[in-house]
Amino acid sequence: MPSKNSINRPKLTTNVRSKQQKLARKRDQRERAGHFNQARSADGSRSGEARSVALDLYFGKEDTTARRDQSHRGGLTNKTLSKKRSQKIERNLKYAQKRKLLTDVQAQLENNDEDSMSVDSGNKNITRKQEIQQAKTIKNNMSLIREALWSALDDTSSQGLTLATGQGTTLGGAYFP
Amino acid sequence: MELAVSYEDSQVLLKDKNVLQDSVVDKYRTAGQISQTALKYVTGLINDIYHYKTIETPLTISEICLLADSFIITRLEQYYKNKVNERGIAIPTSIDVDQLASGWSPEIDDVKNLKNWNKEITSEEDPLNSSVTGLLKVGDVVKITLGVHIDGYTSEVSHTMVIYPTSTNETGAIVPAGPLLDVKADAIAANHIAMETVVALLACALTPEKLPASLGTAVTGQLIRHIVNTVARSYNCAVVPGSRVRRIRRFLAGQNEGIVAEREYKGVVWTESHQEAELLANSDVKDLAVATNSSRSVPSAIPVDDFTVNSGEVYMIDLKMVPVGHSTKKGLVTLDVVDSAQGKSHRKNELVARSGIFVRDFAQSHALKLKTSRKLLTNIDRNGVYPFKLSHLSENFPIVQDKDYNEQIAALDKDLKSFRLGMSEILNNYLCVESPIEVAKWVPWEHILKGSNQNGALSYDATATLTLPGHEVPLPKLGIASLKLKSLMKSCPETIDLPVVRECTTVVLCDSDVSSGDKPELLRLTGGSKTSQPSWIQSKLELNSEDSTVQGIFQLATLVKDKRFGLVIRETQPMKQVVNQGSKENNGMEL
Repeated sequence: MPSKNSINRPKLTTNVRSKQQKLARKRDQRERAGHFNQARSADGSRSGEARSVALDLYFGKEDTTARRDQSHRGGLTNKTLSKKRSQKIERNLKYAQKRKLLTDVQAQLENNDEDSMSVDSGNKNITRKQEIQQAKTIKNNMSLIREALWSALDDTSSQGLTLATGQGTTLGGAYFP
Repeated sequence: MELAVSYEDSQVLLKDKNVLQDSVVDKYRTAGQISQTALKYVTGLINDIYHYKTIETPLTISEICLLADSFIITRLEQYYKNKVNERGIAIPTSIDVDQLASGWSPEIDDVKNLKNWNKEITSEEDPLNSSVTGLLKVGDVVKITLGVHIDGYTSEVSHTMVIYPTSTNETGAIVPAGPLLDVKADAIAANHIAMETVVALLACALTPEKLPASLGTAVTGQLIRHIVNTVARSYNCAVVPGSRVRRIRRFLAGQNEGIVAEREYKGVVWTESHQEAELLANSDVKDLAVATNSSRSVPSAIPVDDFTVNSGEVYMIDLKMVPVGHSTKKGLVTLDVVDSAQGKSHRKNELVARSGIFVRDFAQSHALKLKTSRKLLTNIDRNGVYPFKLSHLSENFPIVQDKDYNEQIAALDKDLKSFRLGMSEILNNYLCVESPIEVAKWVPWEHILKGSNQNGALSYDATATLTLPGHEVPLPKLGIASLKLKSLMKSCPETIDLPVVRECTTVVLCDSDVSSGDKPELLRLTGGSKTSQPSWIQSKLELNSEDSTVQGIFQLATLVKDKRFGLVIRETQPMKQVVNQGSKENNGMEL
């Protein structure tokens, strides 16, 4: 990069760059100060809740806290989720599940002391079953819609909706409008 | 990104400036007058070339577009000079033939390219032939679209013309040889009736007590959709996605739909998802068919039908219809975007073209490298938020009458070369967006239902055309994303192109304080009986007068005719001394 005083300094590039950086800094400041945020009273506001861009992306939630993102829904974004981060989230979710199972088991143990062994495996089965069940219902819904559409096609292909008995419609006349 | 505008400023811009006062109505009226005159000018040119044959060497579509834009600019010179900051073309003149639904506005330097790119399309019968050669032929359905804005108050107009074989009648006048008879006639009839009915319906919003009882008590979005769909169905037509009946405001006339999410969007839009929902509503599984995202507490950018039309608003009615009577099968009507970028060699009988109309995306900023593109961008930014063509930015625009026509065209062509260079850098950095050229396609539902869809709605199309917020997925119930739909469309051998008919008009709902009389009235800025008369057609189909909705439509028609107790609809007239039915020498222009 030539120095500021050199003869072939690219004046425009540096100026534009510094201007853009300045603007970006200001914008970041404003964003950090929360000027773009929704009002706390707004419906979509998640004020006060813990906020994580990565988790939002992982669960496919749109970021409603920042209002500026609303206009770009479906457009480009600079928010990304790395593979490593998503793997970490998955791992943590697994831990959370296990922790929950543990607390469940403990609660059950406190309630009734017998058959402590069967609970563990049973619960595991249920979660797996639940997963399969969920996948099935999603599939079922889709196939239901497909079936409904097929039936609608069969119903209406035979039935004539239009009326061609009268003398029809004539518009305009023998001239060039 | 959202631009930071203070609350007070946004109130002034969005609310105060949109209150209908005499000054505002006058701007609307002047804009309407100029668009009416320009429409008359274009139809006059086309009649002169193809019907009266007074112009020997016919002008191509790109030349007509250029002349129409020049005409608008020259006319605008006389109005509101130095009184408003911005006035100009709201949408560059585009002339779409047959299956082209929108956006066909080639530059003059495109004529050669189009012929080179589309070497497969040579036969006279091919409906795309007219677009490629730029010369119309008998039987073509031609849609003319243009618009004018003064200080952001916009009037847009579209009108459909038919090119007839001519004959001479007993008085020696040249007349069409006969009415248009095929399926295109159905679409023209349906579109005309739907348009006139919606205009009458909006007039009813001023005096809701006059609304026919069979149509309900208030003019709502659902009612508008129901009526348009009823008319379309009885003429065996479908409403093309992209049609809309929407409120427009200052600088918000739908020109940036898909680029900018417009808050408080008010209007009815037709998309593929509505066709899907309608089909599902026909099936016996009722609980699946309730998929309305109606009831919303806050106004949003997502268009829903849940609104009431109020007085003091301005509406744009833009209806496109296609006939679907060619087959007994049911099919989805969708739009395919024409591009020049991909697959030129293997696509037979498909149009290859580049878009001539661009829209600036003001949310993007980038330091451009080429001096040419920086200069061009400055020029574009001066142009405002409305779509533009490259030729509008040239110093040799508008084309004027008192200079040599061919010299002006040659100079413009030279300017376009450097503009193309600059524009490529601007487009590559997303500073501008091409407004797409769309072709109406029909895909049988069978093919869509048979296809597997493993990714669901997750497949993302980076090149997808501009979609309204909330309507990114074309078939949400089936979970088919736009990318998947595109591949279904390409893979199905039964997919066909359909001829599109389009009418567009802008209406102002004037309360009694701004109307010309003492009664509230609907001011129709564009279209109407003077400029947008329907072409001569004869359709075998008609409205079923036993249907209660159709009875309501007939009642509306009688209300419009009744001058004393009915609805007051006033039409903006085109200016006098409009079209000099001239020859090629003066290009029929009275500038």
